[in-house]
Amino acid sequence: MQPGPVLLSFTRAPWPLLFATAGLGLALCLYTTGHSTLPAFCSAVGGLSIVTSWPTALKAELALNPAQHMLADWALMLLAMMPPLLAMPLMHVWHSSLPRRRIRAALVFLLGYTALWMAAGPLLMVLALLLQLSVADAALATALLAALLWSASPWQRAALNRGHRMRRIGLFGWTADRDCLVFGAAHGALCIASCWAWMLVPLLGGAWHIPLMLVAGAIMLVERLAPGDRPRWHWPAILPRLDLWLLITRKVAHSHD
Amino acid sequence: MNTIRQDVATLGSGWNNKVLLNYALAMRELDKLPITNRNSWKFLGAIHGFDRQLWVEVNVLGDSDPVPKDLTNFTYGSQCQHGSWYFLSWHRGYLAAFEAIVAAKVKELTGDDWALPYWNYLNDKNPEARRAPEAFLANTLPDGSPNPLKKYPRRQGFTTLRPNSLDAFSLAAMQENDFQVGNDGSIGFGGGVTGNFAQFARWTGDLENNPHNTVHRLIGGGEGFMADPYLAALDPIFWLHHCNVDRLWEAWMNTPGKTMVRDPRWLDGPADRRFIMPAVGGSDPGMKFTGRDTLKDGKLHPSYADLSIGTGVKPGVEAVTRVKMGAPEQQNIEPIGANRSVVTVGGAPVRTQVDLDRQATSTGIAAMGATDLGQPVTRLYLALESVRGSAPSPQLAVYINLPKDSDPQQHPECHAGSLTLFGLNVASRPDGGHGGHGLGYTIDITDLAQRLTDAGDFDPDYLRVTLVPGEQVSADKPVTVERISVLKRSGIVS
Repeated sequence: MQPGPVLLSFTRAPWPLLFATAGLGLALCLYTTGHSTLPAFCSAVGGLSIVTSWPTALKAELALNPAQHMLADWALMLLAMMPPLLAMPLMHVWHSSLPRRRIRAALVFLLGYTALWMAAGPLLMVLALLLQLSVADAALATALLAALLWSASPWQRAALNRGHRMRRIGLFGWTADRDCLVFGAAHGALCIASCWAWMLVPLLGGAWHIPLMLVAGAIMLVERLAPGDRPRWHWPAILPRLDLWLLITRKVAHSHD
Repeated sequence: MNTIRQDVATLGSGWNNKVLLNYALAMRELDKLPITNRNSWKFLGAIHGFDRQLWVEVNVLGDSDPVPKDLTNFTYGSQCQHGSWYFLSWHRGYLAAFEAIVAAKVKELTGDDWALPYWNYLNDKNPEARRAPEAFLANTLPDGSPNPLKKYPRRQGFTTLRPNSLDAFSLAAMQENDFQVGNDGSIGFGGGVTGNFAQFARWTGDLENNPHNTVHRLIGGGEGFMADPYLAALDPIFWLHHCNVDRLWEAWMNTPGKTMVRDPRWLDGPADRRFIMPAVGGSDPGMKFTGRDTLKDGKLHPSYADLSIGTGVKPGVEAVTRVKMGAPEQQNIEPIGANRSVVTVGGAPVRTQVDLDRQATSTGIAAMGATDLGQPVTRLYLALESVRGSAPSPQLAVYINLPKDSDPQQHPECHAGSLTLFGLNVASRPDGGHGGHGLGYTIDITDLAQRLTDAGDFDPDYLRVTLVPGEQVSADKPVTVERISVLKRSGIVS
């Protein structure tokens, strides 16, 4: 990937608007961190037994952080992390619609997309809680390892590939709305399949919640922009290449001979 | 001999054509090299498209032949760009690298200079223009040994490009004034906008659609290598065909009134992967290039002996066949109609209704014929979006307002255009660059819409579109079209 042309492409529509939206989401996340819920979520339950205590822990968690607050924070996380991932499908919806219906079409697409992610939020939070209960202090490291493994897997590659495929959008009436909603939901499902593991990481970040959101968001964007490939186990694009590392270390070793 | 690219028909007949004889001698030597050699014929072919399993099936590779990593690790292999604005620039770089490697081999073998000739198949002054040069048809070289220029399979009995009744083999693409229009990317001479590397992206440019795609199918048929992007560049005639396509681009750029793209994404892209070609000898680091290198004063800019004959334009002379619509970025493209569901074409013609936005269509129709400076002007296009299928280069003909149950061939007045969907197999692979999104095509229907309007057969509420299957389309290998839409292109007469 060439950083120059990539950064240059970010100056063109719709990228500035999408990054601005993500920035707004990030600012709101920063604001709410002070009063907050999701980062506290992890530390509040440390050390309890997964077998005996998780219902108690869940109750305690919900008492500390009401469900509506947690969902609101989840929505802010989505607002901060997801907009840059939506450039391609949003442009497809925009160009495929009658000019007078374009804003409506984009909003209906976003409705379908967000609905899926909001439904996935509680599941990921429960998963984060289970990790916290089962491996306690190693929860973040475990989530990072899981995210790297998922990024290396053929299943994530297949989901990313499939996410590049756009769907037909009708031009008139309720069928146009239906198509945008279905496309949004379908794209949301593929996005969840691609990104769930990286979304888990900031949930377990504690005090590092916001920086980890930024890192995970950047990784998901790089993965989304990378060219399609055959689904197979591969070295994650975000890690330095092992073969290059070996080559460099060998050269260094030779230079000392 | 010199290093300016010349019309192969002007270089002598049969093996008296020394440029082709030298080409054959060089190819024979390069074809003996293993694919692990970056100057081997197979490696050069694999730069266009490579699928190990297919290459073994068609006996280009043996089961146990080693394949170099740089053909499968996103460095040299499977780079060809189609369905995007990189189509012409990438192939120009590909031709330059190939020409340098073959020329070096010719020099080594004979001491002669060598330049890639072009096949000027649309030269209407030459009645034999569509016949392949004899050197590609002969069974043997002058010394009696097998002719390498005929080694790889083509359409059965191929000698001449023979467009069928569904084809529209022509230079109509040269009439387009803009390389790329607006930010939509669906319309233009050179292909749709993409900032990324994509073997088969989304929108096919006019020149790529015809004559480029058409010639691939006319030579390859259902069984020849030219019809399949994974194999096409192995056929030595591929290079003369692409040399002519490249010349058409050069002629177009040299014609006043044509607007070449200057977008930095085109000039310096793609963003996610570099175009790279092997150097003569194959040593690292190879030759990296961008679109900028292919333009005048760039390191890959070629020289042609002639840019007028068989190009449909006269460089240096402005001959406006279509009214100019203003700067490309100031033109607007919007959909004004679409059909209601996915269309699948198997063994028989399929008819679908395209509903139109009455108001947008009526204003579009009213402004189609504008010629006065400063007046709003429109053109109408039929777009086939996300076309998918498993055949390598199936053929579809498109008709508008064809009378029900009538024979399409009896109604040429309803014929909107013909498409050869070259590379549809690659564009439809779920593990491809766009997840099997398929290809998009636009057909200019302005003149047809005008004729239908004049005849009182254009209803601003809907069009009836009929897709007629041609070669490589059957019930077993259908073609699906996700959406058929009508696009309105608007500008100001300038």
